[in-house]
Amino acid sequence: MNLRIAVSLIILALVLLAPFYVYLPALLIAILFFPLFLEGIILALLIDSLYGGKSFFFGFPLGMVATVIIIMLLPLRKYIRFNA
Amino acid sequence: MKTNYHPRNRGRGSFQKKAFIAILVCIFGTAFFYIAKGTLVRAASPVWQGENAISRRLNFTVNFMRSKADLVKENHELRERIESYDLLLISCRLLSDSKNSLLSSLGRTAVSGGISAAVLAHPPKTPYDTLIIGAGESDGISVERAVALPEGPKIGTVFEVFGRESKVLLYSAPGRETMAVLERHNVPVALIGRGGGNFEIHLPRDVEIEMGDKIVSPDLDAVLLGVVGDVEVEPTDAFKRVLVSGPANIHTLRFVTVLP
Repeated sequence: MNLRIAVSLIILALVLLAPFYVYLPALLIAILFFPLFLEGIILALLIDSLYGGKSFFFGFPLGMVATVIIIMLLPLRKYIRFNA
Repeated sequence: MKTNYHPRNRGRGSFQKKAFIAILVCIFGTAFFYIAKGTLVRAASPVWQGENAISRRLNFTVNFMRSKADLVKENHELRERIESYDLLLISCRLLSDSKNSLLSSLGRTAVSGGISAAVLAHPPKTPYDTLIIGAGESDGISVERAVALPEGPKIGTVFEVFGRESKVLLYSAPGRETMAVLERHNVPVALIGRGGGNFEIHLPRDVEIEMGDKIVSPDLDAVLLGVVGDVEVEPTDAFKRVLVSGPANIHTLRFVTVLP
């Protein structure tokens, strides 16, 4: 649990300070690594609200993509061995 | 042993429950972040300002540590560049004067002035080719106002305004279409944003175009929007694909002007 919070805080710092090619892969890896990483949806929505342009899903496309990835990973989770 | 449940269904129920939770988080999160957008940008603004200040300071320190020979060489190069820019400036002034006199003879005036703003966040920090600038409603900024570089070329429009910050959508945002004119033959073109300060144009293969050709805005000011970087054409295609780079490196922007 502590690891999840620590990783979320690190990604939050990256979102504010690092380029997108650092924080987006970090977010994806965290979503793959932790089971049901709902914090990932929150972080994706934060990225959309801070930097988002005019796009689909009320300007929150990344939040929707993160949700879809998390849901798609649910049945695959048992085949992924590195999950925490 | 007799069991009263179906273990095979347990997994499916759990999946539905978890998927439902994820969708709920997404919906309520979207509503929350949509409402709190301005507050979040305001809260993050000191972090961006601090980071910009630190990176400038770091740059200064790195420059300070460079060798004397490097500095002499750079100084020499910069002097040469200044001389060429002086000549360019004189010719630009002449052009500007003749343009203004032409406009005044037509009863029109060139747009001048605007609000200068510091760039708080720019690509590659922002993934969608947006800028966050340090001027907002309190500074008289409103939605749809054009944003230009201090040197003149337009780069985008304001699309969201908060108290002291605004969001600018660059013309190069993926999928964004901007009307422009190919200066060589005054051909009207649609600049399609491709992200990272780059554009794409599709032209009939008969239209003559070369690397370095300028793309300007279709209004009276005819400000620079981009420069042709590459032309791709296949022998079987009726159209050619022209790749255009923006007038400035959007990754190093520090100040912009919001036009009236």
